[in-house]
Amino acid sequence: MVMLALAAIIAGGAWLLLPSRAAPRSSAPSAIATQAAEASPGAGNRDGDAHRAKAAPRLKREATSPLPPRGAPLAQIYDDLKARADVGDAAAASRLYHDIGRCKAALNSIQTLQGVVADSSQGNDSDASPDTLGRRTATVAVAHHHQAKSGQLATSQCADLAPAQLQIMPVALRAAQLGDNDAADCYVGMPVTFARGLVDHPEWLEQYKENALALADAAIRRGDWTMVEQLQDSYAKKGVDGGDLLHQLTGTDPAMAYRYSRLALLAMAEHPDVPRTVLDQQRTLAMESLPGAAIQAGDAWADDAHRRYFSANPDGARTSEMGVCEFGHDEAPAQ
Amino acid sequence: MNDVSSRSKRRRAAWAFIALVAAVLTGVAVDAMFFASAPMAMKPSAAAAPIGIASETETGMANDAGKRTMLRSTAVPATAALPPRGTPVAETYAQLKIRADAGDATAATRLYHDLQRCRMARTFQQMIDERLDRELPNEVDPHLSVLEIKRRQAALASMQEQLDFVRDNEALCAGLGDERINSIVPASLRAAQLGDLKALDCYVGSDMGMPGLLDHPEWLTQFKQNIPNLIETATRRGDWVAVDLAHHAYAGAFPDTPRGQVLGADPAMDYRYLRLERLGANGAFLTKLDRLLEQASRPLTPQQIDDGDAWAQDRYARYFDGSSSSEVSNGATICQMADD
Repeated sequence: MVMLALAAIIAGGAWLLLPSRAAPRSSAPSAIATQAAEASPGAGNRDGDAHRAKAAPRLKREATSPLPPRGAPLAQIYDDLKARADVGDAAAASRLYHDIGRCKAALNSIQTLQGVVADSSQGNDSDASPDTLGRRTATVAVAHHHQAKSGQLATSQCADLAPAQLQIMPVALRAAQLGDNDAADCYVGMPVTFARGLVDHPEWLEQYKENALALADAAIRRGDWTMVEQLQDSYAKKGVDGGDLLHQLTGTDPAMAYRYSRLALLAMAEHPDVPRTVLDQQRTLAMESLPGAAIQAGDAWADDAHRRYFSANPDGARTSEMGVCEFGHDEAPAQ
Repeated sequence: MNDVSSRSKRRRAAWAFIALVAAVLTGVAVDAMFFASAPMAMKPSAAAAPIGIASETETGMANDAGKRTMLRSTAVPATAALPPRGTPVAETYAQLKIRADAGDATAATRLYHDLQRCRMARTFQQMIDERLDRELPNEVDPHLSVLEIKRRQAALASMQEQLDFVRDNEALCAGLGDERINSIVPASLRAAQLGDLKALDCYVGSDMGMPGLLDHPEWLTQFKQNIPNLIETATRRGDWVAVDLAHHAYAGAFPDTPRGQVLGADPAMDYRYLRLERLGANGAFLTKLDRLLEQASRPLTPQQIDDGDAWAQDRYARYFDGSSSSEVSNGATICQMADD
């Protein structure tokens, strides 16, 4: 197991060497969904066929009208976007997901930053060194700056939202079903602590069980490196992680972890500074903890997935430089 | 300022650990909580005496539904001695659970704390696996700065503590499957209902720690039903940690967490708990609480402020008199192992 962990760590280096996993291109899909139509190279998960079958009926439709202007108050456009998303308008679903995420982030950060300011004022100034006072002042200044930006966004776009309109889990699900990779990454990797409304909607957990791996599989077939990372991490994880729904779903599976770390390493090996021997090293390490058949299956799956879904898309398929489920003040919503 | 990141392995390891060691730092971001409280979590807490028995008068039911829930949870005296300490949980689990379900508070608290140890040992083992290669590379870099060398020394010392903890609890946790470890959620609720304040603080405060939740959505419903009463119970037993947890939830500091969702932002309630906390505060903590109170009182009517002041005075006099709330001013670590 330690050797497998080493193999995973080697693969982890791939993420650092990839030029960029967040290609700056539009995420809002404009064509009919292909997520259920493509043949699989052997499935991103062992139950891939079953999961794809569930995802199949949710086909996208062409947007029927332009989206509201950027910056429009979400409370005013929420119902329209939601209705359009419900009938398969992928652009509307993506816009709704990103707008809710930004409002959630802005409103949360206002609250958090109040605490930061209060904490920074807690120290006893008479005993503080000049360095400490300087750091404290800088912290407060940064907090005030972010507070101002968050407050501006909250006032202009996020005012008058009902609590239910900030529940991102079902909205992320819909956008992910309609092909938004950012939403898929967030939904699949969603920590319990991000799922506002979950306490009142325990049925969302059942939905997650039904949809998460299918959406992960679809994202892999769209060349989403972030999803590869999430799956590799989840299958490799051995600890008890209560807030991680994905790990609760995948469990620990060294053979599956090897598949995804192998896929990551294939991308790494394409980098001119990386010796090709790194692939052999990874396989040698894996042989200490995995049966040969599992390694062969993993190699075959990773080779095929890389060739079909990632070789033409080495930079990833996400749209934002932000982390999973992260939203900045200035992130442009998908159009 | 961002909400959540699961991008890096380090951050994801932090999520795992936060689930076990939730440090309550007023208004400080989650990452800061993790790093600030990690060392404390290594040490078993000093006072671990299991519990009193939660009587009806102590439970302080907020409503009839809550009263019914808590009445069923009334503790009964222990009928038999507990198994010797250190007996593998795999051997004691069934017996302790039956006794806990029947209202035996000592059995409930023992089960909870044993499971907590095993859960933490497993998490530490994972963290060691993940950190080992980073902190102990095969080749030594002769150009490391003094600062980096010191950082690595500290990291290795921390890993050694974790490893010691894993080894110390190896026999206790041998053969314990995931399902049993995941039952820490209902086990902590049961112990909390039967009066274990440490279990109560952990259940209320470790919002992120619900392993097995995906297969037990009913835990969310139980959480929702029990949180208000548990906080009330803890307040009536002079528990500053619960007061601080309530303040944060009512302030809307963590609106996405299960606790934040159940209690919801409520400036009047936030003011009450802050006011109570201030009555027990001293030193620099007073300054901070005054600032927070000033913020919290802005949207309130004079009547709400008067009511909050009276409520806090009454609670402090009856349940907290003489104790200091400053223990939570720099972070109160919850979900610690009791030294039972």
